[in-house]
Amino acid sequence: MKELRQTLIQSIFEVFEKMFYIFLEPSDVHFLGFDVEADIDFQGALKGSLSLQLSHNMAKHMVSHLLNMPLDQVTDEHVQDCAKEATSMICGNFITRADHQNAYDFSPPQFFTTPKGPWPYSPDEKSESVRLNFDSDSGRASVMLSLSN
Amino acid sequence: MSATALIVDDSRSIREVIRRIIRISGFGPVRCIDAVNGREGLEILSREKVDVVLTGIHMPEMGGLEMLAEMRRQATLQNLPVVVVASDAGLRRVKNATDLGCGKFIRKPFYPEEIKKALADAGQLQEAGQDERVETDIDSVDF
Repeated sequence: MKELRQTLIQSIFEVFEKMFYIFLEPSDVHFLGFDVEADIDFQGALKGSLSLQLSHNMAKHMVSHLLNMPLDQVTDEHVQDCAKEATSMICGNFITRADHQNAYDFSPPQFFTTPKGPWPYSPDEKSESVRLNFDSDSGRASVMLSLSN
Repeated sequence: MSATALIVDDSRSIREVIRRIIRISGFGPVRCIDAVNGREGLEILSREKVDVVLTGIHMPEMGGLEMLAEMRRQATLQNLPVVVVASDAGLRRVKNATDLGCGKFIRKPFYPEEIKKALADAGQLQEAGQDERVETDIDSVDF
């Protein structure tokens, strides 16, 4: 799990820096009160799910940077599409790094305006999970990877 | 006369990003058409003359590789240049795309230069002169 954790961090940094021009700082603080969440499931040699939680400010900055638009023009639909795409990109990038050989199936990303609850929520008894927290000038983000056995 | 690029992705953000890259990359004039999945992409290809296709892989109803496979079964679309832009870029997935005649596989996240180079390599979009105006459809940018 330690290697996968490092791989996941690399994927998160690459997606945020290349697509959103946001430089994240890892944080040991378990933030609460995220505003939006997007989840995706993956299935192949590895099986599990990945969730991305964002503060509203972070989500709006991601849209603003990605689409080169003023913050005050960012809509809820922009935020939803951007959060789902970011989750999909992080997951795909992570899987490609973790298992370059095999093909995987991915569920369509799901979006929630009210996150399911403060993490860590009870993971499946048969799963391993890792949670990563990040802070930045643009807001906060958290990523949770759960692997099923 | 303008060239036409078909952008197939279920994310409006990604379609807009690619559209903007085309707009600022010095190709001219380029008309961009959007599709939200492979089925809609094929429908557009059946009625529009398209010069290059950029497509994602995982989309509802019909994915990009299924669309590509169907394109290669049609005589008029067999040689149409296709660029795949996807985060799912394992060896097997890239081989699937290459076997179907994908000219270039760009892994997300990407730099704008990667899209520009792939389109330049496809050879269907001409470099614009400095004073040449670049055309794009911007209506579908609205969310």
